[in-house]
Amino acid sequence: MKIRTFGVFIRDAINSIKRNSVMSLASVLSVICALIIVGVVMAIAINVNFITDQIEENLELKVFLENDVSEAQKQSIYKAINEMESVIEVTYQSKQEALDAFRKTLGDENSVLISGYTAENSPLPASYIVKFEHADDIAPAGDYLNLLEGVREAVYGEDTVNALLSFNKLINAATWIVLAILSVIAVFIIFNTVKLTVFSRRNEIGIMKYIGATNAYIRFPFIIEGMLLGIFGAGFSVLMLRNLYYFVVGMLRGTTSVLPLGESLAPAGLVIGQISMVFIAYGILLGAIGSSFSIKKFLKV
Amino acid sequence: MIDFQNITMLYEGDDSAALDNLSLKIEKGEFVFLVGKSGAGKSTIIKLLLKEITPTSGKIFVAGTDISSIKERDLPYYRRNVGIVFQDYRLLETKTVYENVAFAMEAIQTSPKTIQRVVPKILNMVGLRDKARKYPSTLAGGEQQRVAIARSIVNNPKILICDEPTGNLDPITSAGIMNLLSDINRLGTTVLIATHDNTMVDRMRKRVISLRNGVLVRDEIGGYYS
Repeated sequence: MKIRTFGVFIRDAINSIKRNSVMSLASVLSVICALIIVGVVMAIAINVNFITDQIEENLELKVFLENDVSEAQKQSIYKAINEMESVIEVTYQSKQEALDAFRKTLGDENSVLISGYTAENSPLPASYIVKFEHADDIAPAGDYLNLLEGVREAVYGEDTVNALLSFNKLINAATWIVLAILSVIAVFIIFNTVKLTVFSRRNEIGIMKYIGATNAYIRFPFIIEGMLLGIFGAGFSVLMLRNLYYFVVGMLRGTTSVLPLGESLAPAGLVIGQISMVFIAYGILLGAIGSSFSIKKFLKV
Repeated sequence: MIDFQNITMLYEGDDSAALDNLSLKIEKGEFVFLVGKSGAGKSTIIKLLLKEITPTSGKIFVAGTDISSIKERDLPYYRRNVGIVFQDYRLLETKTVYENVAFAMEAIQTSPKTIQRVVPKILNMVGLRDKARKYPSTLAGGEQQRVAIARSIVNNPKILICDEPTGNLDPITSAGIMNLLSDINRLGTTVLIATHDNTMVDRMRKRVISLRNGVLVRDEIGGYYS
């Protein structure tokens, strides 16, 4: 395909959008509506992923040791931890350090509560604190370490991890379902709009067929028209989503809720960046599919 | 140039064949009238030549090629060899005379330079040089048909098929159109005209192929009935 021909196609497509301006506007608006719904779901999904990542990063397994643990047992526990695959970091916290850390948590005012304790008589056990790369690996690791001699208990935020993982799966599935349903709708809308153009130019198409224009040549301006509709829809919905996102984040920041939700949300740049790339590509794809359906019938001459 | 070998065409749902074991040969550079009442099989022959339909049985050769062997993908390239003119002109009302002709060249991706060079020549040949900027709706019927003829020959087809080209025109205008087609024929294009305009056929004294109910009943040089 020559560049010059391509220019002619773009011009044709823009002209026909102008000619069918009302219908084109309607279809761009419909695409915007569909994509905004997709965008909201995507923004939620991106945030859930973002928060999951953050929590995952902070997830740790605490392996509390028996008070009478021997040095050899400690060594074999340490070795067992280090042999696990997704372990990122292992730190040892002695009884003294555990006590100091607790004292710090209590603060100056309350530290009097544990003032009588020393490393020897402290109820706080020594422990290994293990960080993992993937949240999924924590549960089996904990179960395994619980079996070892010298381990009092290996604990992790079991409920948090599991709830988070299943919610993450759910929201990802929801994204795909919403995306699939709305894609069909958007394709259908573009299909109908471009079909109007195709219909109004059916004589031209017929003549082109008789003259010996290739199907690709005949089809192209309509595909471009569909793509343009998709791109317009995608562009506008990205803009609207961007404003909506800033609004929502701003609103959450203003609240004096216990959870600093506004702070822990994914940054707008990240969300809008991801959404806009997906949307533009997606708009082009929807437009192309919709319009190629609409011309199919008219090519059989 | 055109060779129909035992062509039978039976449309789906019809009891009798539109063409019944028809064989005919048209040589390169011939000027041929295809006559007969409606339903005699003229349109079927045209559709077969354009490869809009495929025969129920038999073979069609055009310029030595068995056209049943042409793949769907190559059909556009085959059609570039066959120009077609319709009774109702089928011009694009939103384009000028010049653009209607240029459109045919654009559609097969001819370079703008060639288009600018060839279109005025063709318009000159069909006698519409000074109407280039006009829109079809402002032209008389005969002039519109000349635009359609210009469009059909601008890509230099080997064969020009005309389906009732003078069906909507008065006798004097029709004669002009026939003379134009005859000129085109003289430049080497094989011309096939389906018509029931008997005065025209009588006047031209060319080869006449006469069909009745899908069967060839007469094939000789002369008039409509003679």
